[in-house]
Amino acid sequence: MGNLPQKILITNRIHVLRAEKRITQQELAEAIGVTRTTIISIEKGSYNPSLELAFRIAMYFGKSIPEIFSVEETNEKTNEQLNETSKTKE
Amino acid sequence: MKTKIKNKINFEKLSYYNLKFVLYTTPIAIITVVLSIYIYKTFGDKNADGVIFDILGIHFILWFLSLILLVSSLTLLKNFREKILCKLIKSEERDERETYIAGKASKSTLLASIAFLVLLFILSITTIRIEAPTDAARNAGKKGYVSIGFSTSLIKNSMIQKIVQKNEPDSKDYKFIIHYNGVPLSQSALILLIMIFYISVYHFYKWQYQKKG
Repeated sequence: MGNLPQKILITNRIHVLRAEKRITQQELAEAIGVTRTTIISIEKGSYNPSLELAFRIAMYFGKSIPEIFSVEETNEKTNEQLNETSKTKE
Repeated sequence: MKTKIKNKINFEKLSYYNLKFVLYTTPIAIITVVLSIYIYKTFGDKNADGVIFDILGIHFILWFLSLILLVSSLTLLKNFREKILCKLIKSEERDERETYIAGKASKSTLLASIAFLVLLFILSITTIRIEAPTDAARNAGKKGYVSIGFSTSLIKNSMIQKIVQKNEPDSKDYKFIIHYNGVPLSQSALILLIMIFYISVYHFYKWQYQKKG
């Protein structure tokens, strides 16, 4: 399966960018063609947008996708690394 | 190819007009039915005479044929079916997230429905009889019995059913305590139950997945 972790957590700065632009979730939803509940879910991190939607969001804010979305590796990877280091110490 | 697509589109248009005809004239069909029941109960077997009743009768036939055409269109035309049934069961997909949730809910509904149908099938083919002998039969040395089994037939009044009925003990000597012979619902009630089950389970899973985000 390679060196990539099994699970990755995608976070975003949409709520920050929204606050900077002083727009509501409803206004953002209407601008990019989704419902307000979708915006809520994306900001909470419980729904990851499709590539097309991610591009729409990026184009709306005038930023690139990596400037809005970022990846955090989960604790599963961290635990594996800890186990490996403890084994090498022994 | 273009003519085929054009014909298909026209048939869809026809189906929409047919749907409107059925919807708008259903009250008249209901009135016709109620009126005929009233006349039958009041005047017995006498048929209603007059131009109005002739018109109502012809209208009812047309309405009935349109209804058959409507359900056939729902079965055969994919786009028409999706538009009408999605409105009917209130399944909307306004954006990609709702489409994703609808997909997950559909999968969960399919699996739950298969499990429910398996349960219904087992219940429908199960037969349980628990009978105790009457006093006279007990004195004659007869004992009660418990019978559990499966009995099914794809066609009504088939040979298997006749064999089972032939081999049942004489009911004069027995009084039944439990007598279960398949799901005690009519065919139409069963189909209605399954439809209600599908729709409710779909909405339940959709609500659950929406809550999770």
